[in-house]
Amino acid sequence: MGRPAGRGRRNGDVSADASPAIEVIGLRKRYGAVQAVDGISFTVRRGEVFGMLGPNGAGKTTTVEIIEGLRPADGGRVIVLGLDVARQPRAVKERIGVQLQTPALLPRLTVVELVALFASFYRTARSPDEVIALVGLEDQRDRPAGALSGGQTQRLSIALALVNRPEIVFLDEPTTGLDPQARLSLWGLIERVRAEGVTVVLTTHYMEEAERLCDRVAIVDRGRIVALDAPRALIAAHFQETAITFRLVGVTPAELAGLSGVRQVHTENGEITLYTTDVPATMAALLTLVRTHNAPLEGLYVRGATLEDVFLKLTGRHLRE
Amino acid sequence: MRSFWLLTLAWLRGMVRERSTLFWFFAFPVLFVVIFGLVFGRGDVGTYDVGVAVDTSLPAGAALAEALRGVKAFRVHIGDEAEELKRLKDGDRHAVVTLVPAPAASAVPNPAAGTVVVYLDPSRGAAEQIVRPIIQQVVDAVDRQLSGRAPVLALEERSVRSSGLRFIDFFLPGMLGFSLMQSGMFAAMPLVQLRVTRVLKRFGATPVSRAAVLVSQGVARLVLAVAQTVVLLAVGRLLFGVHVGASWPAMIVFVPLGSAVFLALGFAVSGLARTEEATPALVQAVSFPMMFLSGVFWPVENFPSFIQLLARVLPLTFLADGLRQAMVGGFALYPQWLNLLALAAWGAIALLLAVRLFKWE
Repeated sequence: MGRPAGRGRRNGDVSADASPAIEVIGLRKRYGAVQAVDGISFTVRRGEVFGMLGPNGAGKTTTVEIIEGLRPADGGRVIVLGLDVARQPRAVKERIGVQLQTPALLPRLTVVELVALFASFYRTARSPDEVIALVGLEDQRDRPAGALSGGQTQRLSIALALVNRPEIVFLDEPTTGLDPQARLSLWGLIERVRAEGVTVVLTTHYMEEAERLCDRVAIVDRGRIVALDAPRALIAAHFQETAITFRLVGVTPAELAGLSGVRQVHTENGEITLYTTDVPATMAALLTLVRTHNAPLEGLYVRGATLEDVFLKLTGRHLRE
Repeated sequence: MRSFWLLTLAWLRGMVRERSTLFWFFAFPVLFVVIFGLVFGRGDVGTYDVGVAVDTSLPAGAALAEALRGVKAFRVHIGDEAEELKRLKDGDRHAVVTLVPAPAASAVPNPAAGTVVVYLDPSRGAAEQIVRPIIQQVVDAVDRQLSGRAPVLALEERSVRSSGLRFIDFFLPGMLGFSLMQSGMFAAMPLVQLRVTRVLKRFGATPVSRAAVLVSQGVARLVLAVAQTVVLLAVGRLLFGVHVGASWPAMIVFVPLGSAVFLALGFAVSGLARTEEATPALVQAVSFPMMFLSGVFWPVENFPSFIQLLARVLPLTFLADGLRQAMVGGFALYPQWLNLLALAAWGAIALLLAVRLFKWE
């Protein structure tokens, strides 16, 4: 998974020359007894891919929909491209593109008819064929939207979000339910969009997606942002440890915790993960332990910590439950 | 404005490309009309059994009997007065006409002078309403003929109108009203679909106005209604020779007004339906009783009075009656202004319901 050229540069000094794309200050939203958004504040810089990572029900979608002007907030302020969303929703909507979590399409219309319809909603819009080419649906141009595959449907949905040359694009879980190949190709599309200078706000519960695509990630849990930084920085800040995962019967967690360098032991479905600060020492101790028990060691692999580990550490929950 | 037309076009394309829409809104009513037309079409709704008990030896009696025989809509039975009146009571006659000659000592020295007495059965409402004016007209004509006065111009037109009405003439406008109701109320289907699949929400994320989205849906449905009207009128005219176009201005008022009333009801129902699957059942729950109670298949007057009370105020009753008068110019239940007013009132009620019940998400 190569990273697009120029990423490092963009990470470095994007904020200096531009006002923020989005400013969210103290946002609150309650549904009945549930405080869906509980005082969220953050800033999205122009040109960055900003990720919101969290499990279902964390408040990501609600937050994004308030920013898009789709629902009112109970409290707080949202400034998009210098405009107050609550006061000028239409002006904001002219300049943003939105993809909802479920692709909302008219199944009987063809791809080109749908794109032309959405183009007509905006004062300025690209030509339908330009957008269709941008998302690589030329061969599906005259097919009904209802006959497209899952990946093609998501591409069409993104095409509709790009039709007005938006300055910010919101993608809500764009790859959920897609097969790995479709996911990879959609990631490529998102990288192309970003290369055009469009700010992307991406919600996801796939940590690989966030790690690969996002310049910065906000980890959202129970209506709050629990951490916000570049993916690598988040991992570095919360984990000096490396994860060693394997299957091994007949050893107690206490024995494992006592191994040299081990900071934390996590057992799930018979799979043991050791978080260690000293991989060689822990590996040596582990192999000694295995030899004395004469037990079979299976499925051993060593990996650096991921956003998933960060999320687990910060919230005590998995991203997907 | 461009977005408005593209939206309208999008809804129309959605309808036309959906086979079930085409079936329910075109094939189904046409099939109904054809089947009913073939089964009942020849049986005239306007054929009435009229007993005539007059002394044909009198010039007036002979002229009256002959004139009544000349009415196409009547099956005339010449007979004895007591016998014919008994038949009327048994329900074998729609009316009995007798002639009571003027007493010999009358001041009027005309041997033909007398009083025509018409016995009618008020429980057979439709028959009474149709038979009475025809007899009245015949009596007038005979009277003029015998007294040697010139006939009135209106006479001929009225006799054509009252003689030609068959069941299909009654049924076709009712079926049109029913179709307009169905296509209006079934707008609930795409509306629920748009809500459930979040298309309405997706539109909400663009600058397009909510009014444009809803009004375009209404316009598309109106186009559908006009298409239905044209198809049904063509089928009626070409297959069964139904006289259409008694009043085109009234058609132009009633078709869109009726569509609008039921469209608003459709919007209201769409707000009540939680899922796409539940929608047709809800629509049918409202439209099915109306189909049977609103005089689509038979005159409202045929119902027992307690059902009539309800049937007479249903929106489809007013629409069907209005369309009937506008199309074939007969079977009037209400005056047209009342139909118009009642439909407008129903429209206002439906609109209020729609505004209260319609949901975007």
